[in-house]
Amino acid sequence: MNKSKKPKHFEEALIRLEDIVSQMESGEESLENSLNLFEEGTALLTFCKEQLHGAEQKITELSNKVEKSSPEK
Amino acid sequence: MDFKPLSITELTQRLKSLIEGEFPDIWVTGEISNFHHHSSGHMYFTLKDHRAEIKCTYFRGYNQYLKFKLEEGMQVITSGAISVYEKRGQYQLSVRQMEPAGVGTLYLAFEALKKQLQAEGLFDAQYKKPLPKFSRKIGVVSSGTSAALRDIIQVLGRRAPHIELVVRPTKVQGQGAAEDIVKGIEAFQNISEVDLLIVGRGGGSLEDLWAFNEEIVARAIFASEIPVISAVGHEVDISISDLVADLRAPTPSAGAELASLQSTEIADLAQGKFHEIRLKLQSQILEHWQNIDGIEHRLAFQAPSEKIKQNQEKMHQLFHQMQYAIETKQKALQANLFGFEKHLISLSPESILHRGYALATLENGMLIRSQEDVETGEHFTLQTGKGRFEAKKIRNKERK
Repeated sequence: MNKSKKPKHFEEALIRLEDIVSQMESGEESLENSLNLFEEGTALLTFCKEQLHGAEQKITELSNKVEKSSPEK
Repeated sequence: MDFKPLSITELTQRLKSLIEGEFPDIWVTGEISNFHHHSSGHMYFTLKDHRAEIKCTYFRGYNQYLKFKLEEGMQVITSGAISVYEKRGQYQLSVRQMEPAGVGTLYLAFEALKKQLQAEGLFDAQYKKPLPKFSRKIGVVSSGTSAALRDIIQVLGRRAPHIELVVRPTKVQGQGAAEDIVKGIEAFQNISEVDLLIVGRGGGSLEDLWAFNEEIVARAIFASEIPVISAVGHEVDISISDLVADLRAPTPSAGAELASLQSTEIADLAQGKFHEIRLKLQSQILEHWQNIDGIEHRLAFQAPSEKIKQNQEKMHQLFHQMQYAIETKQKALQANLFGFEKHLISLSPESILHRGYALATLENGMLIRSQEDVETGEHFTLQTGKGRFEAKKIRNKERK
């Protein structure tokens, strides 16, 4: 269990997250294991959502910047 | 076999395809006569020598580039095709190009070189290098004082002021011009960051443009690592340089236009690209959201609360089983106890009284168990199953 390991990239987190959900869906995990997986999965999900929000915000910021710098026509 | 004569039209059409197929592109020299410049702009005349003549047409689209004034009796050299004018049953020369007869040798040289280089593959499309879309540094091989250079500078300055122009002033006509053009092209090969070369000059007579029909120039253009735009003379002047270059521009200013995107076009292009990228990114992010939302849903469904619930149910069930077991046990015990009680009750004095026995007690409550417990004449109490009463001992009786 590498729950303490923080994901570096969105894709990495996403892959791990999919793994976790599939593992849980197989229904063969013990309660304790399920709980650990759920905790890790929730953390990864939060991370992914933050990344997406961050990306969207960056796009908006950069777009505004470009529009400001465009010469008037 | 049926005898079937040809109609005039059929015959003429056969002659037409025969003759036109045979002479699509020929050079003819002769003397001009019966010259007529029609108000439509087209020219009609006859070319002749001392033994024969041929009718000629020289249409406006071609004759507008004629560099000298046509006169009766002039010796000219022309290129064109033989065509048949069906309506009059007349064959004629459709002139495309014309020069005074003196330059005839140049044409022959041009044609010979063109044929040779073509055979070698120097004009093949496979060797044409693509022009850079965004040139930053353009080299010009042209006369340092010519109108051509001025045109190029003007067009580039207006369209694309961001492009740096490097000019190698070159002799473009006369003795040594071809050699100088070659040196100019070669000089640029060692200048870094030149993306494109424009090689050319403004309009002039065939002799003026001749340097651009020299083999060494053609080979230098072919060998250039940098893409070359050839911009020689006017629209109609096709030089060997034009054929071998990566792109032919009809004029020097057209060459400059072909060499550059307008800076506003570049800005628009960049803006467009930016939007394209943004849309792509946004749609990527949306896809990720969809994916993440799906996973979230699945994860929520897999939350251990479900597992906890299952376990709770199981525990509940176990508890019930325990409860049931203990109740059963209790009931069994109770049933036992009940039997026991019944038995006990059946043994109680009261039930004995009910069966018809009576209990005799003295006034002090003592049970009377023998004759001696009671004096004759003494009062005592008899207790029956239902009620009690007072009795008196009369006498003792013998045992039976």
